[in-house]
Amino acid sequence: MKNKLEVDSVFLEFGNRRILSDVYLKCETDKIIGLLGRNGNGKTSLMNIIYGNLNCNSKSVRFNGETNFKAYKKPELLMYLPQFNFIPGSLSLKRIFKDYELDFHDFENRFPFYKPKYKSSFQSLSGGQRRIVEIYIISKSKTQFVILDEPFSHLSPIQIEEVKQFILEEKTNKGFLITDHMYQHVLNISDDIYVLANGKTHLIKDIIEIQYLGYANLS
Amino acid sequence: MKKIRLLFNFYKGFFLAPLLISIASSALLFVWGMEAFTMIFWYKITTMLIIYSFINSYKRKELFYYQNLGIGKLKLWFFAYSLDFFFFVILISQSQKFSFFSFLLKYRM
Repeated sequence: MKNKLEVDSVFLEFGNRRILSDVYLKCETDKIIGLLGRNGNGKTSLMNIIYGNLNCNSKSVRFNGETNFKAYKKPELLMYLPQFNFIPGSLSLKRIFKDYELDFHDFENRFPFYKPKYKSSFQSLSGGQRRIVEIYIISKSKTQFVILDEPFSHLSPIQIEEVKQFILEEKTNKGFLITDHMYQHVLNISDDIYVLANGKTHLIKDIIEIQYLGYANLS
Repeated sequence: MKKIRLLFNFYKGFFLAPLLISIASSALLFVWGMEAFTMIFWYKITTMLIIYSFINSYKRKELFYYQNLGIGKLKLWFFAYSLDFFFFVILISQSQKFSFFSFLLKYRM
């Protein structure tokens, strides 16, 4: 079954500063949507609004046409990878995989480094190794949609390629919304790209538009 | 069952400080008697608020772990507050039975 996530009518102000005013986003199963935008343009705010974590003046977030203001209460609909480490450091990998109902063998087959780490605590891993675990559990969990906020930061080039590979494999089961300033990687795997500029989302038809919108210099 | 385990796991991350406050409250009640109950009660409430506001900011990032498993902030904090207050009530109600507090009596003002 193909699921659909649509976001529009988002209006967000911090004091007198208008952050988001004209947003439209659509994500479907088997699609990776890239969201690009300069720092402070409201990408993370928009993701938190979709997830239901941030209150705003108005919004419409619909899963298969059904409005849901607090998506975080339904992990079967949406899961969110924040841009920082979020797994409690004291938990072991065994516990983390059990909590998220995932098979550790699949993970260790893909990333053999973790084989002897099954009973290790999360905090004993390096920053990049922690990030791989976080991206994996969020991307592989049984949910319709996944939001990934800066998944490629702090990863080595080889790790980035591995992450891109399993995201591409997993997209047959769910829809992805990804933002990262390593935009070439986002462009590589995305089916559609939106640029967030001046509070509005712009669906990119030609790659040169990301330069016109002031996000990156392609020349 | 899984949800209960997750709620306990969240509370486990910081249970020691509020538990020590509850033990201290119990000791104070043992020494000063029931007339000090109101003061001890508000002492516990105030310290609870201070500890929890600190933990809320310190563990803010970890809340996403539980949210991604369908447990919101409200549930986490309601459970933690309830369990903490339950321990407080148990310790306070049993304070007269804790003879090991008796060494404190010589310091009573």
